[in-house]
Amino acid sequence: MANLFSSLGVTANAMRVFEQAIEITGNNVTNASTPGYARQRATLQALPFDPQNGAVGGVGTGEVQSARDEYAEAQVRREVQALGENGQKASSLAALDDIFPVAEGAGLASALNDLAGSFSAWSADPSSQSLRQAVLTSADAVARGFQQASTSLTQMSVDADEQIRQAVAQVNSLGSQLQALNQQRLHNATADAGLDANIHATLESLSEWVDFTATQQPDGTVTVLLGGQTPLVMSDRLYSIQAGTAASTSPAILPGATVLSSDGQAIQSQISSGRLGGLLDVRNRVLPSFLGDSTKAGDLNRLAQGVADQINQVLTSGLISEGPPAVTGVPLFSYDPTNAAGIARTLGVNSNITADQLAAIDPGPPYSSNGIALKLANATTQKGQIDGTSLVGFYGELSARAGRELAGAQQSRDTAQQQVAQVRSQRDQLSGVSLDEEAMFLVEFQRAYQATAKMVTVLDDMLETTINLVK
Amino acid sequence: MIRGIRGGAEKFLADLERIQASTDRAQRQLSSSLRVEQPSDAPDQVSQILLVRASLAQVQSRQSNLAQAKTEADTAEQTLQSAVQMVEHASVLAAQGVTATADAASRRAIAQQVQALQQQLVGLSQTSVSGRYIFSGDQDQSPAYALDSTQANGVDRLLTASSTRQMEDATGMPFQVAHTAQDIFDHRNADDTLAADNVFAAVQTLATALNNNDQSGIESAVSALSQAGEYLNQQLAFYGTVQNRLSAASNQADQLVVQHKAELSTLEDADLTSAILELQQGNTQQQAALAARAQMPQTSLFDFLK
Repeated sequence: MANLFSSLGVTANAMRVFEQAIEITGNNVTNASTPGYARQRATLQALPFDPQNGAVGGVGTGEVQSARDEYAEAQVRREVQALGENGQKASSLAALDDIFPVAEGAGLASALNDLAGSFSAWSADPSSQSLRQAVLTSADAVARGFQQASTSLTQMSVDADEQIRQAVAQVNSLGSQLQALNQQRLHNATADAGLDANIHATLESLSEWVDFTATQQPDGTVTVLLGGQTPLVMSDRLYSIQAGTAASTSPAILPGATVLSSDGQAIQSQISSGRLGGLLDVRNRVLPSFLGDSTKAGDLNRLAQGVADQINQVLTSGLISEGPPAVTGVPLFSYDPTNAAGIARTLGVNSNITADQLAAIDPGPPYSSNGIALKLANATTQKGQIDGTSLVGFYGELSARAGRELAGAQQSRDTAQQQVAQVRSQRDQLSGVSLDEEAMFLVEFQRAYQATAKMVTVLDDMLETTINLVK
Repeated sequence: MIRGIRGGAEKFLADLERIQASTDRAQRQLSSSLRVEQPSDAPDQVSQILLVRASLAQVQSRQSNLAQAKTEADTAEQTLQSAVQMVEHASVLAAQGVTATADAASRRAIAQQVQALQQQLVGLSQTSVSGRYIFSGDQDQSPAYALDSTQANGVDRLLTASSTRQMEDATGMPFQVAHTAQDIFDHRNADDTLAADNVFAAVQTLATALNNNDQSGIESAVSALSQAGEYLNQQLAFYGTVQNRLSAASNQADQLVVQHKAELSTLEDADLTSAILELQQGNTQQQAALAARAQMPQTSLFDFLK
C-alpha cells in the first residue's frame, strides 16, 4: 500500500510537470510575434527509480531552455546598424541632387554657361550697352547661384545638427529602458523569458540608432558600450550622452558636430554606424567637403573663389578705354577674403561697377578691341584653373561627387535592407516560434497529461479496493 | 524598419520595394526620355555631361557671333561692290571730261555728277549693320567720314580707329573680319599723306579738275581712279577671304554642334526600349510575387486540432 501512495505522488508530480510544459508552450504561442522573443522549451528529466531502495522515480523539470542564439542576435544588430546608417545618409543627402543639378538650364553649371555666353556675345559687339548689361545680369545670376548653394548646404548642416540632437535623445531614451530592465533583472535572479525578450528588443531598437557592443554579465544584466568603448548602460546605471558642437574659430564658420560622453569626452569618432553614425558622417565629412569648416575652405568656396579671381584677373588686365590716359578694368566680382569657408555665401557682383566699366580691350601685344571679352568667353572652359581642370570641369567633379555620395548611400541602404531581412529570417529559423512545432508539443504534452490523469484514476481505484479489504 | 514582422515576410517586402524602385526608374526614363536626370542617377557620367554641355554652349555662342559677322561681311562685300562700280562710273565720267570736245560748261556738269559719286562713297563708308558702323573700326558707334569739299581728298576724317576686333572660329582660333573706312577709301602712306590709290582723293581730284577745266588734272585723275579701282578690288578680295573663312567656320561650328549633341544624347538619353522592357518586367514580377504570396498556406497545425 505504501507503494500505491508513492505511485500516486509520482503521478501527481508528473501532472504538475506536464502542466508547466503546456504553460511554456502556451507562452511561446502567445509570443510568436513578439519582438525579441526566443522560443522556450521545457526540459524533462527522469527522476531516480530504485523501488527496493526507496527511489520512486517519476519525471521532473530541468532548466527551461531558451533557443536564443546570441551570434544570430549580434548579426541582426550589425545589419540593422548598417541599415540605419545608410538609410539616414540617403535621407539626409537627398537634397544634394537639387543643390548640384545636372539638368539642362538648372543650377550653377547653367549659370556659368550663360555667363560665358554673355561674354561671347559682348565680344562680337563690345560697344553695345545692352550686351554689357547682360554680362552684369549673368554675373549676378552666378553669384546668386553660389549663394543659394551655400545657403542650402548650410541649412542641411543645421538640419543635421537637429537630427543629431534627436538621435542622441533617442539613444538616451533606449538606454534608460535598458537601465530599467537591468534593474528588474537584478531584483529577479531567475530566468524570465519576457524580460529577456524586452532586453533584446530594446537592444535591436538601439542598434538602429548607434553602433555598440552588448555583453551579458554574470548577474544577468547587459552592459552596453557605444562604439565598443564608451559605457552607455552598466548594470543599473545609465551614462547619458549629449550632442554638442566643436569650438568654432570664426562666427562665420559652422562648427563641427560632437557627441559627448557623460564625463564630457568627445566620442563622435567612436560612433560610425547607426543613424547617429550616418548623421555624424554627413555633418562632419560630407557637408564640410563642400561647405568648408575651420580646417578647409570646401570645394564650393574654392570654385566660387576660382570663378571670381579668374574673371577679375582678366578684367583688370584689360582697358576700359585707351585714353589717354588709359583706364584699366575694374573687378566684376567681390567676396569676403577673410573667411575662406564663406566665399560662396558672400560672393556678389562688385556694387561699384557699371556696364561702361567692363574692360573689353586687350592692350596686348597684340592690341585687340575685344581681346579681353574673348578671353572671358573662354574663361570657364579653359583648363588649369582649379586642380588642373577648368571651372566647369571642377563644378562637374563637385556634382559627380555629390551624386556618388547619395547613390552610394542609396545602394548601401538597399543592400542593407536585403541583409536585415536575410539575417532576421535566419534568426527566426534558429530561435523563433513555429506554430506547427508548438502544436506538436501541445498534443504530446496533452496526451501525456491525459495518460497520467488516467494513471491517477487507476491508482485511486486500487487504493479503494485495498481499503475495502480492511473493512 | 518594421518591428514584429517575421524575417521571411520582411524579405518579401524588401524584394517588392526593390521591384517597385526599378519600375519607378523605368517610368521616369520613359516620361523624361532621360537616363540621367540628377547626379545620383549616374555619378560617373555627370562630369562628362556638364563638360560636353559647356562645350556645346560655347560653340553655339561662336556660331551666333559668326552669323552676325557673316551679315556684316556680306554687307561690306556688297558695299565694296557698289564702291567699285562708283569708281568705274567716275572713270567713265573722267573719260568724258578728258576729251578735247568737252568745254568748261560740260566739264562743270560732269563735276557735279562726280561730286554726287563722292557723296555716295562717303555714304558707303558710313554703312551700318545692327547699329554698328562696320567701317569705323573699334569706334563703331560713330561714322568715320563726312563730306568736306574743302579738304584735299574731299572728306573730313572723323575717326582714326583701327579695326582690331577679332572673331573666333568654331575651335576658338581668332581672326580679323573687317577693315576700316580709312583702310578702304582713304588709303594713307606711313607718314599719313594721301596714297596714290586713295579713293576719296582720286574722286575729289577729278571733281576739282573738272570744275577748274584742268585738262592735265583730269588726265591725272584718270590714272588715280584706275589705281583706286585696283585698290578697291584688293579690298574686295579681303572681304571675299573673310566670307570664305566665316563660311568654313560656320560649317565647322554646325558639325561640332551636331557632334556635341550626339555625344550628349549618348551620355544622358534613355534607352527607351530597355526602359519599356524593364517596366514590363517589373510589372510582371510584382504581380507574380503578390499572387504567389497570396496563395501561401495561411493555416497551421492548430487549425486542425480538435
